[in-house]
Amino acid sequence: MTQDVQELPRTTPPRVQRAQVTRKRRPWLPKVRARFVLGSVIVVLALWQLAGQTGVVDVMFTSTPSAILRAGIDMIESGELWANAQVTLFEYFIGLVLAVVVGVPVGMLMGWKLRLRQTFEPALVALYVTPSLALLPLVVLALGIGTASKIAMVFIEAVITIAVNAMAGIRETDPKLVQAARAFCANDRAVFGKVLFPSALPTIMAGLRLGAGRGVIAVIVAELYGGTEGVGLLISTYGQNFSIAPLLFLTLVVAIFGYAVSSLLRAIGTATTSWKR
Amino acid sequence: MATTSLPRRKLPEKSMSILLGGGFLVVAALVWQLAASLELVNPFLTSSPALIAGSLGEQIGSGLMLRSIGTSALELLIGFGLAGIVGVALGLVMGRYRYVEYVVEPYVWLLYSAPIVAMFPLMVLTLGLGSPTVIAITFLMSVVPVVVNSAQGVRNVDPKLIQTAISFGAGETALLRKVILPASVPTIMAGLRLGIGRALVGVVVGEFFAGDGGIGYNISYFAGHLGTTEVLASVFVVIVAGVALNVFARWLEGLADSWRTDLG
Repeated sequence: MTQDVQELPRTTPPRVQRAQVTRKRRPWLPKVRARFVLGSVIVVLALWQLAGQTGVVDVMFTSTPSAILRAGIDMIESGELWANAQVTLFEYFIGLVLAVVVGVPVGMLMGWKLRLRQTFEPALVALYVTPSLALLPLVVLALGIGTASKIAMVFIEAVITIAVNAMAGIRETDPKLVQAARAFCANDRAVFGKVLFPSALPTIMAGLRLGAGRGVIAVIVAELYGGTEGVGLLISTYGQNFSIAPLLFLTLVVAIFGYAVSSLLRAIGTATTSWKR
Repeated sequence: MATTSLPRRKLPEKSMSILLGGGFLVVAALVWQLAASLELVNPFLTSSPALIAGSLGEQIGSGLMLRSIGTSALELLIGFGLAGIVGVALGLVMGRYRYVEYVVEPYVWLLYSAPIVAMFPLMVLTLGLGSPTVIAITFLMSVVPVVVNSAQGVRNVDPKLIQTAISFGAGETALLRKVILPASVPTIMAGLRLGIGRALVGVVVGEFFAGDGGIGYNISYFAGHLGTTEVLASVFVVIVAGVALNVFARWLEGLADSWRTDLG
C-alpha cells in the first residue's frame, strides 16, 4: 500500500504531459483518424471485390463484398434474419440480465467479506481462467438443445467475469477511505453505499462490458453447437452448405452487434463514473 | 490461534484462506458424492467425483488421455506461438506508427468482436478438418489481446525516454531494442497472458466443431454418446490446464518485470 502512494508522484508527471499533448492535437486528430480508417476499409473492400471478380482468389472460399451485401439484403427482405435474431437476442438478454443480477451482488459481497472471499475465491478464479464454453456439451445434455441451454451458457460465461470484476472493484477501494468513513462513525450501509460502491463502480462497469462481450460469443457458439433456431443455427446451416456469402454476412452482423454492445456499455461506464476524474 | 503476535499475523491469515478455499472444494466434492451415492440427484446427469476419478484413471491407463493432451497442447503451442510472434510484431509497429494503427485498427476490432468459431466451415474448406483448422481458430482468437496490449505498451513508453535516446543519436533499431521493447514488456506480457486464455478457448471450442482429436474433441464426442462422467473428466483436465497456464503466465510476468521493481 505504501508502494502505491510512493508510485503516485512518479507516474503523474508524464501523464499530465501526455494529456496536454493530445489536447493540443485534438482539432485535427479525429479527422485524420477517421479518414485513414475509412480509406483502409474502402481499399480492402475494393481489392477484395476485384480479386474475386478477376478470379485471382476462388470466390467459393472468399466470396466478394457485393455477394455478401446481396446475401444480406435477401436475408433481411425475406425476414429470415429478424426471425432468428429475435430468438438470439431474447436468449442473450435474459442470460445477461440474470448474470448481472447474480454476479454483481455476489462479487461485491465476496470483495467485502474476507471469509466469504477466502472460501469461494479459489473456485471462482479457477472457473475464470477456464474456458467455460467447455461446459457447453454438458449444459446441452442437461437442458436440451432449446432456449434454456443458450440462456444458461450466456449466464455462465458472463456471470464469472462480472463477479470477478465486482470483487476486484470492492477490493481496490482505498482502505484509507473506508477508515476515514469509519472514523466518522459510518455504519456498514453508509460505508457500502457511500464509499465501497462508488469506488468499485468503474471496475464493475468494465466487468459488465467484458461479460457482455463474452456473452455474445457464448450465445452464438451455443446455437452453432446445437439448436432449433437463432442466428447461430442460421450460420451453421449456411456453413454446412458452404454458402460463404450469407455465412460471412451473419458473422459480420454478430461482430458489429458485439462491438456496439461493448461500445454502449463503455459509454455508460464513462457517463456514470465521469466524476471520478 | 487467538494469541498471535503482530509480526506473525500474516501466516495464520494465509493458512486460513487455504483452509477455507480448499475446504470449500473438498466439502463441495463430498456433498456431490453423497448426493450421487444416495441417489438424491440423477447420477446419469450429475455423475460423481468417484466416477470421474475412475474415468480419469481409465483414460490415462488406455493412453487416450496422453494422446488427447498431446494433440491439444500442440495445437495450443503452434496457434498461440504464431499469435505471439505476429501479435507482438504488429502491435509494436502499430504503437510506433500512428498511421499504421489507423489503417489496421478496424480489422483488429472486427476480429475481436467476431465469433471466430462461426467461420469454421470456411476454414475446414481451405485447411481441412482437424488440427490445421483448430490452429487457425486458436491463432485468430488469441492474436487480438496480444496486438492491442503491445500497441498500448509502446504508446505508454515515457516520451522523455524516447526523446533522450533520439538526442543521443539512437536509430530506430536501437530505440526499439533498448528503450521501447524493455519499457513495454510488462504490458506485452499481460497481453500474452490474456491471449493464452483465449487460445485455450480456441483450442477447446475449435475441437468441438472441427477437431479430429484432443480434449475438446473428447468432450464433444463423449457428450454425443451421453457419457457425462467422461465429459466431466475431460472438463476437469481443461480446468487444470486453464489454472496451470494462468499460474505459469503470471510467473513469467513477474519474472519479466522483476528488474524494474529492483530499481524503485
